[in-house]
Amino acid sequence: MRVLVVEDEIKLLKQLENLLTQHKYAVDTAKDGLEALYLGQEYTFDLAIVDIGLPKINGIDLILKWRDMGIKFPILILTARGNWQDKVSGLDSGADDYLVKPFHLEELLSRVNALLRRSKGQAKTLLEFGCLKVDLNAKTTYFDDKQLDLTAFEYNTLEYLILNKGKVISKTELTEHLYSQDFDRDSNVIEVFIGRLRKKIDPTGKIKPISTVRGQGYRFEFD
Amino acid sequence: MVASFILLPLFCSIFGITLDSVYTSSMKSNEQAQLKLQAYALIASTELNNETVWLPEQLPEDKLNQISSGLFAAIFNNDKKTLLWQSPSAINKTLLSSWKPTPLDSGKHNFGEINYQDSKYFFLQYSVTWEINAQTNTSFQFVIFNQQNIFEAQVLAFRKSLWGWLLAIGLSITLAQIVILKWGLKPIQKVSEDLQAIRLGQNYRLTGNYPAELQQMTDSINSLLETEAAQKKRYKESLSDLAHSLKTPLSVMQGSLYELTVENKIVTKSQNEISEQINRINQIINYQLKRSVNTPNNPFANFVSLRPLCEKLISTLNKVYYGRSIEAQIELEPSLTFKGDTDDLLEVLGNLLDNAYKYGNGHVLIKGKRDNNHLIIMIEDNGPGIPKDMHALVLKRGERADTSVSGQGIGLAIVIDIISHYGGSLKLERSSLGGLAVVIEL
Repeated sequence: MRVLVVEDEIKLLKQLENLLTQHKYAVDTAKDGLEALYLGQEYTFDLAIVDIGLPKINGIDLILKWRDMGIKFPILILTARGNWQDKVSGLDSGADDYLVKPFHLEELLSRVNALLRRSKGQAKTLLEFGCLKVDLNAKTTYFDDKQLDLTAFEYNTLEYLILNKGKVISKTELTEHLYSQDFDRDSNVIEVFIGRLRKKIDPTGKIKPISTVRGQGYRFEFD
Repeated sequence: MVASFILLPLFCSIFGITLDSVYTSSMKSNEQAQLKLQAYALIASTELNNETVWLPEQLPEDKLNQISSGLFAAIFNNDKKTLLWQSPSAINKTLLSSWKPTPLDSGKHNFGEINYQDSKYFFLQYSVTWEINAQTNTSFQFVIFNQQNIFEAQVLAFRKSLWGWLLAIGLSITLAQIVILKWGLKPIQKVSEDLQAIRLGQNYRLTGNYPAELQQMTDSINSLLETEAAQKKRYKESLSDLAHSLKTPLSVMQGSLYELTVENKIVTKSQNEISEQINRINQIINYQLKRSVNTPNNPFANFVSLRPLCEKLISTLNKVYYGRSIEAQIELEPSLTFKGDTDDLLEVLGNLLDNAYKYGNGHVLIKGKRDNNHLIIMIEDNGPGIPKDMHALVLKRGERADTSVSGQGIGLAIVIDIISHYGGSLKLERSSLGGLAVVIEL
């Protein structure tokens, strides 16, 4: 999952970036509203965390502009004052949830997870596909109740395919959601990931959840 | 305007009464002069015959010859008080038989009025002393009576016409006054309407075209309003900046603490202590910041419509509590308003509704009514409610009865603080939905 964090306090921005990266998210960052506006327009994100008090374009205006452009990813706003005027105008402008500073990083993570699940229409956090189990909160995968050792990219590929179950996902879309903009994108890497992932999540080759749709991409299916 | 409506009839009445009295008195003087002339004419026609008088059959004044003309005359012997002569018009006039001439010096006259058998008469007595021979003088008294019916008819006609005209003039002046006052007060009326529009939040300044006499005043009001609005905005912005610059470092501290915990995989006593202190600082900042935005008793405070504000809050909370499928019901008349700061009302209702969403069990109800100039708002939920003996504890600043749901514990305290600034009150009751009902009176 690719998350955009917009915060003008560099230290807090770094902390959020570290936290989300540790939790297997692909993270892009912006230090002001203008930069964030550009990134939101240019790249596809699964979620954005936006501080209300931003330089150049404030958080509320940034969200309004994104929503005007038809950008639909869920947005979590960070408000310093925490008064209801900020909360109401933030959510009215198009944000989906708020968090009042100072916040516990665990709470931020749980809000991010909840928003992502909500946006993908997935209410449950523990998903089971036969022997394969995926815990969306802990970002861990089990096969026959044994935890699998997946890299962040592998997990993210699997999670993205699961959350878009039944839909064909192109390599480009996968790349966009898995890497932050600093990465050198090579769509061939996706094929390698998918190959490794298939072996890891289905060592016996019984369920074959990820199918290749020739010329189009990949699809997660489980009957 | 009211003063002129009282003064004008008063002035008209005094004017009318004065005019009436001047006219009546002038009419009476005129009557007196007329009667005096009649007396002189009569004296001139009188011929002396010993101690008695002789007058021609046809008198120069026609009215004296006509029976019941209302004008009649008589001549008395002043010494013997006997009636010597009466005009032909005096036939049937019993007044003369009872008339006793009053003593009067010769050459003098006396004018007066008399009521006799439901009729009013003017009379003029005139005494003359004539020499009958060298030794004897006889004194005569000429009395002329005139019935007042003509005089009364004239006075009545005059009064009718006078009061009619006065009424017409009075009404015309009043009408003209209303028109002039309306026209004259129009700019003030406009200022008043524009001020009302500002109070109702439809405008921010006086924008009308006012006459030069009022322009200075409206400019002053505008500059006062602008200064107040700018000050309020600056105040709010600096509070936001202050919050941002205080809370962001606190966030960084909290984040660092978390990183330390993840790194060391244990939570030390000092880390706990720092975390507790961060929470405390945060609570103090929150409490003081929210308190300081209260601006009650502002004469230009807006009337905030309750319903749209609640709808906004519900839509915000529905987003935040997405997935809990909470049904919020708003039972508020669209005309229900609160006079005060929108942010204050948002803070009160936001905190109370947030609690209802948090502790309720899927059903939230907002009711409101106006009762004797007081606004009563009830926020109810179907949660477990709060036992009666815990109410005081819950209302105490910073304390929470239920620690199972996260919160900063100052929400209700801020609500109580804002409400008390507006001179209102807050009560906890049992809701008809089964949970808690928070009743606020403003």
